[in-house]
Amino acid sequence: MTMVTREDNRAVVQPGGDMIVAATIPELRARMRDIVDQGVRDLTIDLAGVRMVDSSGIGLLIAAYNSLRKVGGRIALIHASNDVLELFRSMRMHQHFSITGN
Amino acid sequence: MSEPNLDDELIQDYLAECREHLATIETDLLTIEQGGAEIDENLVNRVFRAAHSIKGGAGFFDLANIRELAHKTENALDLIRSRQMVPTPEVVSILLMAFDKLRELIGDYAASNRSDIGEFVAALTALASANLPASQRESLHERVEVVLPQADKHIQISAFDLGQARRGGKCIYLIEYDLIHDVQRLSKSPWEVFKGLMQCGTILETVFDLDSAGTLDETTSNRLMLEVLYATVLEPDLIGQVVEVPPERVSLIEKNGETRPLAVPAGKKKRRPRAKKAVPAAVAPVSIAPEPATPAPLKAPVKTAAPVTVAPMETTIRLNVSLLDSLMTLAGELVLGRNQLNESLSRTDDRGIRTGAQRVSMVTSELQEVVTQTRMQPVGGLFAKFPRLVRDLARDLGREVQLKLEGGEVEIDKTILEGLSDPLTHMVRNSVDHGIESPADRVAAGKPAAGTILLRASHQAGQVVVEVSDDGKGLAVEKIAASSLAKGSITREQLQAMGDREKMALIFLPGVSTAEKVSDVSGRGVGMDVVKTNLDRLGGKIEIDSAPGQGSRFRIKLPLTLAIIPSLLVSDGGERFAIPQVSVRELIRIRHDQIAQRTDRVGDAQVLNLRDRMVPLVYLADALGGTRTVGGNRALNVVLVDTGSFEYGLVVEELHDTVEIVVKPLGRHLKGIADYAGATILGDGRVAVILDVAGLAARAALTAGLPESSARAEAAEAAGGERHALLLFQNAPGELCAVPIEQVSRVERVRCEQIEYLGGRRSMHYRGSSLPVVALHDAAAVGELTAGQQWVVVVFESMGQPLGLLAAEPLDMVETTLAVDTVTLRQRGIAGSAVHKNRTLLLLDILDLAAAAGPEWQRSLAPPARTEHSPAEGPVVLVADDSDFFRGQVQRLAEAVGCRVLAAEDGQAAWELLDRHADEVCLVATDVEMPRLDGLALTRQIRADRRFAALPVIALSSLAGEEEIARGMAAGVTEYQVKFNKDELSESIRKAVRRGPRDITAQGSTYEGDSR
Repeated sequence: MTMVTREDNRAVVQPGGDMIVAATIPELRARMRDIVDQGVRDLTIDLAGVRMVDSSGIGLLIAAYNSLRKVGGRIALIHASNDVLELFRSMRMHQHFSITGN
Repeated sequence: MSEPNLDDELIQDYLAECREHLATIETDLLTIEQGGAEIDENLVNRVFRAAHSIKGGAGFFDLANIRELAHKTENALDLIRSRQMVPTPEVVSILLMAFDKLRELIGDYAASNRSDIGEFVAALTALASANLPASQRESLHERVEVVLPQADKHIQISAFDLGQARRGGKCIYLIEYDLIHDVQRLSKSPWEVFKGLMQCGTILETVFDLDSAGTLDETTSNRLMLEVLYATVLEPDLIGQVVEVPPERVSLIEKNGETRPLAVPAGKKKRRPRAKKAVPAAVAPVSIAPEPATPAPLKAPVKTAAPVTVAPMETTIRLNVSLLDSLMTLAGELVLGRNQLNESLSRTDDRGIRTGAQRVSMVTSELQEVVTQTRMQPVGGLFAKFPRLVRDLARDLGREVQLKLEGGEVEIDKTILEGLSDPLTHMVRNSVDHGIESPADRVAAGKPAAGTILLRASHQAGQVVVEVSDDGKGLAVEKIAASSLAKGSITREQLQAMGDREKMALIFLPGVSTAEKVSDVSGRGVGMDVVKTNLDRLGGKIEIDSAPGQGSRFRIKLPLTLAIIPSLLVSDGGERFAIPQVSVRELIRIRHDQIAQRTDRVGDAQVLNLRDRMVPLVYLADALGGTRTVGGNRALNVVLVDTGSFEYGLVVEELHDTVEIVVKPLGRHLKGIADYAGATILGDGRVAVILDVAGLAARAALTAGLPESSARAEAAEAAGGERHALLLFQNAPGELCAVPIEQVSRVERVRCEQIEYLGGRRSMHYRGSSLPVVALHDAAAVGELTAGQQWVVVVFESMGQPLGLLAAEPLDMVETTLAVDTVTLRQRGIAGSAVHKNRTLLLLDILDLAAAAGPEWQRSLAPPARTEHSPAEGPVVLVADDSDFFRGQVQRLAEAVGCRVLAAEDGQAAWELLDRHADEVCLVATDVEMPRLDGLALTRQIRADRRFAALPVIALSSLAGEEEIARGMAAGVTEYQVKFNKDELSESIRKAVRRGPRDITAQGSTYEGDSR
C-alpha cells in the first residue's frame, strides 16, 4: 500500500512492496496523480525497500517527471538500492531528476 | 548534482586502489619525462590505465570531479601514447599537477564534488588541443550528433570520446529500445538488459524519449523509447546476440558519423519479429544476422574490410617501440657479422672466420629471443581482468565466489591470447552464474558458503592448457540433453546412444541452455557455441568434466604454435627426440648389473620396481617400431613420464640436456600420428620431433592411459550395443579376465604369503576379519597364478558377505561395448567371453565362483544357486532382457536372494510366460529396449490386465534420463533402475518379493502357501 506524507506543496511517496512493476503501477499512478492535482510541486519518491523497477515502473517515474515538469514542479528519488541506482545512472535518468542511494 | 553515494566498503576499496595507482604514477611520469620522445610505451600505458581506472571508479561512485579530471589526464596520456604529443617537462608538469589535485580530491572524496577543478581541466584541454593535429583539434570541443534514421531524436557526444570508443576495432551502435516491447514483453527487467550490454561493451550515452512515457494523467503508456549509444567489439553479425531488439532498430555508426541500420524495416521483412515471438526467451535466436537472401545492408558497406567472421580478431599487433629498436640494432649487428665473415673468408683468415661466426651466432640467438618476445605474452594479463569481473558478477547474483589464478606467467602467442579472451570470459561468467550455487544452497549441501573458481594456465604435453574449474553444482547433463532434444539439434535415437560426456558436449550446440531461468548473465542459449567456434578458430580443443554436486571443469587445450617449452632431449637409434619437461617426473639410470634386480616381468610387460611401486616400462625403440639398441651389458636409461592419468618409464638410449625449444606444429601429412606432439629445430639445424607421452603409451598398449577421447570414440563406434564398465585383470599369465566394475568393492594388493591356506580353503586378513578367498581355477579349468606375478585380491561385497578373488596385475578398467559369447567358453565360474582389443576376455560369474569354492558358505548367504530345478521353492521373478549377459546377471542376482527365475529374451516372450504363470510371478524385472515388445509396452500390457494390477515391475535401463524415467513411470513401472547397480537391484528384488505374496494374496492367489 502506498504511503504518502504531505506537507504544504511537498510530499513523500513510499510505494508499498519491494517492486515497482506493472502490477503495482495503477495504484501508484493514481496516488501520484491525485497529489499532483492537489498542488504538490515537490515530489520525493522513497525507494527504500524497493528491490526492482521494471520497464513500466521506469515509464511511471518518467510520466511523473513529465507531469511535474508541466506544472513547474520537481521530483526526486531517494534511498534507491544499488541495482536501481546503477540502472538509473546507466539510463542517464539522473540528468533529469535527483536520485540518491541509501 | 546528487550527493555522492557512499557505499562504504566498496568506496574504501576504490580509494585504496586509487592511492596505489597514485603512488606509482609520480615516478612513472618522471621516467616518461626523462625518456622524452623515446617513450616507453609500457610505462605510458601503465599510467594511462591508472588514470582510466580512477576514472571508471569515480563514475561508479558519482564522484564527478574526480571522474572529469581523470578523464582529462587520460586524454593527455593517450596523446603521448599515440605519439601525438611529446612528454616535455611542461606537459609532464601539468600532468603531475593534475594528479596532485586528484590525490587531494581522493583524500577528501566526500567534498570532492564541491572542489574547483576548472584550472586543471582547462590546462589539460589546452595541452591536448595544442598537440592534436589540426583536424582532430576540433574534436575535443566538437559535439557530434548521432541522428536516428527514423526519429528526430539525436544523441550528442564529443567527437573525441567517440573516436576513443572506436579504438581497438570497436563498433559503435545506436540501439533503440522500447522498454515495454523489447524488455517487459520478454519478461526481462531493464536492469538485466543493461547489465548484459555492459558486459560486452560500453554504454557511451543513453537518451530517453521522455515524451513517450506520457504523464500521470494518461493511462499507462505502451511505449517507452530509449536510445543507447553502445561501443562493443561485437561485429554486426554478432550484435544480435547481446541486443535483443529487431535488427532494423540497431544501427551501426560509420566513421563518418552516418548511421546504417542493420536491416531494412521493410514491411515484407515480417519474418524477424514473428520469429522472436514464437521462440520463448530461453531459446532466443542465436543470431540476427540477415540471411543470405538479404545481405545487402551488411556486405556492401563503406568499410571494405568488414569481415564476416565469427569474432573480431586483430590482425595487427601493438609492439613496444623499444622492442622494434632492439630488433633494428640486432639486424645491424647481423649485417656487420656477415661483412666480417665475408671478408675473413676472402682472406681465408681462420681466426677472423671464427670470431665472425661467433658474432653471428650470438646475434642470432638474441634476435630469435626478441622476435619471439614480440608475439609471446603472459596469460596473466588476460587473467587480470577476471577478479573484478567475478567480484561484480558474484555481487549481482548474490554468490560468494573466490577466484584463484594460477599460471599467470605462462606465455601464449598474442593472437591466441586475444582470441581466448572472449571464450574465457564467457566460461568464467557461466561458472559464476550457474556453476556456483547460492551461499544458502552451498551450506545446505555441506560445502563452504563461498565457491571457488580456479583459472589455471599451464604447459602440458607441449600444449597450453587453460582450465576453468569450479566447485559448484556441476552440469545438468539431462537438462542439456532435454534442451538439445527440444531444439531439435539431435534426435532421440542419437541421444540414447550417448554417454554423459557426449551429452555434456551438447552444450556446444547453438541454442542449448541449462539455466532454469534466463538471466542477464547467461542462459539465453547463446555463448557456448560461440566459445566453441572461437576455440576452433584458434585450433584449440575444449573438454568438459563434471560431477553433479561437485563442480565442473572446462579444459581448453591450445595448440603449440610458437609456444616455448623447456624440454628434455633424448636420443634413440641415432635420432633425437624432445620430451616436454612438464611430462618428465624423474630420470633413472639403472646399472647393467641391477637390471635384473630392479625390473620384473608382469604378463608380457616389463615393469620397473621404483620405491615400492611398479611402473610399466616402454622401450622407445619398440614403440616407434625400431630395433632396441639398449640391453646387452649396457645401463638402462629411463625417463619416468606422466601422461596426466598415470606414469610409466620410457626407456631410451641416451639422455641429453634440457633445452628450451620453440615448438613447431607438424606438417599436415603427419597430423594423425598420436606419438608426436610437434617438432622443433635444434641448435645444429636438425629436426627433433616432440614425443607425446600419452600417445606413446597408447601405442605401447598401456591401455590405462588411453586418451579419453579415443576411448570415447571407441564407445561411440559401438553405439547401439550394451555398455559395460569392466575391471580387467590377469589370472594365469596371458589369461585376461573381467568382472563388471559395479560388483567390485575393493582391490587389495597382496603378497602370496598373505594368503592362508587352511582346511582346503583360502583366506586372508581383511579389515580385522578373515576374508574367504577363491581362485578362478577352483571352479574353472584355467591356469593357476604364478608366484612371479603381482597378486591382488578383488573384493566383492555385493552378496551381503565379502568374498575375495585372487587375481594378478596389471589391472585395467574399460568402459566398452562387448558382444558377449555365452557359449564357446562358458563353464563353471565363467559367464562367457568377449573380444576386447583383439584379446579374449573371460567374463567371470562371481556367484558361481562363490558356490564352487565353498558350498556351505554359499548356502549360508543364499539358497542354492540352481533353484530353477526346484520349482516348489522361492517366489518367482520374471526377467526379460535381450542381452544374454545382463539377463544372466539379473537371474543370478534374483537367485542369490532366493527367488526362482523365469527368463525371457524379449517383451513378447515375457508376456507369454507371465500369462502362463500368472499366479506365480510376483515381480517382473525388465529391460527397456528390447525387440518385438519393449519393456514399456510390456509394462503397459501388464497394467492393462486386471490380474497384474498390483504386480511390481522394475525397469532396468542404461537410459536413465529424466525423460526416460518419466516415460517409464507413465507406463506404470514401479521402479526405474539404471543398469546395473547390483546392490540396489537385489534390495529391490528382496523388497518386492517380501511384499509380493501379500499383494497377490489380496487378489486371491494361492501363492502364499507355495512360498513358505
